[in-house]
Amino acid sequence: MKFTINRNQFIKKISNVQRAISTKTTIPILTGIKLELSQEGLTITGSDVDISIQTFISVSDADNELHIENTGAIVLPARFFNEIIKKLPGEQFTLNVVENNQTIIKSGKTEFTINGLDANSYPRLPEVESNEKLSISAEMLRQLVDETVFSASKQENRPILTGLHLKISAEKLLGVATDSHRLAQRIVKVNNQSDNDYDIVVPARSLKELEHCLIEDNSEIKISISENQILFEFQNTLFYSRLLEGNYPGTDRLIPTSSDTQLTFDAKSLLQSVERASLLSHASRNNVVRLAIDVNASKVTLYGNSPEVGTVEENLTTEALSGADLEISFNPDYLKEALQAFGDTKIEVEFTSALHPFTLKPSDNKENFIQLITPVRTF
Amino acid sequence: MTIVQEQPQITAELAKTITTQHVVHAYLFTGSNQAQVQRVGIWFMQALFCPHAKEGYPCLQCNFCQRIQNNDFPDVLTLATDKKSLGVDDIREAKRELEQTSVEASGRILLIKQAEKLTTSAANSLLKFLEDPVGKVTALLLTKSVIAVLPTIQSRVQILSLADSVDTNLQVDLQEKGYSDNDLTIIQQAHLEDELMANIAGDKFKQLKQVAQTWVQQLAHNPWQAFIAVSTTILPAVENRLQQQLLLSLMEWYFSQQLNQAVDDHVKLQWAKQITMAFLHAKQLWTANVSLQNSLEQLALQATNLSKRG
Repeated sequence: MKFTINRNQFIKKISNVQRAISTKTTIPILTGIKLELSQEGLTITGSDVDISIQTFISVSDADNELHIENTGAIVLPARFFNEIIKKLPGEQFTLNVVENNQTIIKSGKTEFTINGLDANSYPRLPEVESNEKLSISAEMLRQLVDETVFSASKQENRPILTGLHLKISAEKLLGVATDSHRLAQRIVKVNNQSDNDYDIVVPARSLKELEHCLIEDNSEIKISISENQILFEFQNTLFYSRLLEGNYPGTDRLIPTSSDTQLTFDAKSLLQSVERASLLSHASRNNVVRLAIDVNASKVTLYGNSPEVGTVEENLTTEALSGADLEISFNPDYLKEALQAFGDTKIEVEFTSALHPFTLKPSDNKENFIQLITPVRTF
Repeated sequence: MTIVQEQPQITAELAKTITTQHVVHAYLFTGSNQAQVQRVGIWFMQALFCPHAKEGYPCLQCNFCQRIQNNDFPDVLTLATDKKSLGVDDIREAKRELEQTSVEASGRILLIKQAEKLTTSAANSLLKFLEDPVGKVTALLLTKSVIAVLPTIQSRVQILSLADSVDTNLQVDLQEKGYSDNDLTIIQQAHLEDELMANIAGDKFKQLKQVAQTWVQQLAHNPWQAFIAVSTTILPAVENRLQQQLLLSLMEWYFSQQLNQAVDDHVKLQWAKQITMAFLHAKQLWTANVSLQNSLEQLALQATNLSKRG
């Protein structure tokens, strides 16, 4: 296999693929990057088994300055290959695989000879059926991931909770993540032209990586789902992720339908208040803040305290206030992360009782975005 | 010689479980020759995943078989360590990985080499997984001896023992390195194959054999001399922990010889029993990180007590 290509263009294209390659892998060949050359162009693959990213550089795109002499495939050690390409002197470089997987990389007056690996040993990426029936805008997908994934569990004792539960029925995509202390649920619209419904759990880490790949991308993303893989397709790039095995716990019944106390806040100012209160709660052993609601006096107070350091008390500004009086304690970090996900908007907080979870919803999108936080018993 | 020829019985048995679809979720392979145990393990994985398998026997030629052989297959997760133990963190990471769906094959395999290296907490963390794996996962534990594995693990896996057989590959290999036929017989009878995996030259082996033999005799006839010999002849002869291991295994072999010879003589037998027990204790101490010098010197002191009483 032998080709010449524009160096900058090549570096740009492989930056996404690099994301998938991990140095920690126990499978030696996965420390490599796979290059496969056909008459149509160059396919580059990186994988750490959990996720695999593949990108295609077309010969028909003149910017790439791709000239193919003969086709073939090779796996090169990713870390070195990447550094080498970055430091090459010329505008273009030529890559030539000679015998025994030895690869000569030439640019300007420099010539590297690298020992490659047999491309046949590289894992085959699964053939996920691409029926082009499911698609979503990059913007929507980014939002979905941003607004839910932080709630996924980071502990391994219930592995299924480390993923994001995705349910697709008709034109509705519902994403739920929970670590059993809090929950985030977001509903977005997808273009679903098939009759299939899907119910899968995707590892949170994969989605975070996907999000990085999608930055500055506003195209439409095609999604294909098979029994054990999900594939996202955008701009000549394929992003594969494995799924999590097992059944996700039912979360629908966790979300309360009625409430006794309702508050409306400006998310940004509430966030600042919680951050202040958490300064002291972090210093105490159990990291809890207390919220006292007095409806008649229309007073909402947030208390934080640390036996060693001191206490903080703040009267919160509410936009609206109704229902019964209540005192409730909770972990401020959960509220903080939930508010960060809302951004700059008005939110409605609804409580049932001191020991029941409370919900947060943005006022302008109540149906499609809900966050749930479980309180802490302090008596 | 292929593994199927070396271990015809166990491979036939495994092939049969595949064709009759009686593959269980967890196996423990044991055998005194670790290299052979590993080859059976790899063969079994190939048999499970090979798309061209005939009657449970893998083709060994196809891309799947080749990649499993080279440890390049994404649905096989191998746990092995050069350190002294496999900790709970290694198991946790493996469990995280195994919770995910397979990439190419229809299921996944967790291969644990040297399962005796699992710490108690690691083994316990593995228990739940062995009881109730999520999805189609086969666990394959390889070990030297069953008793080195927690009983709770033993009860959750199917245990298969490899038949003792001559490892011809190793013998040819060793002959090339300058081992005599006499040495090879000892190696085979004393099951020293594992210790020799780490390239010990024929001359070194002869030297260690000599040291071990003289010391064991000294211990019987002149324990005080043996005490001194620990620092004068034994310590200069061994260079690293592997050689220490080999030396101890050789001594074990000579002690068992001694027992065999003393079997008719009641008085001698009593003594041989006691000294062998004391040696096994010393070896245990060595495994638990007491230095070789200390464990052997203590053994020599015990020997002086024994001979006083005798």
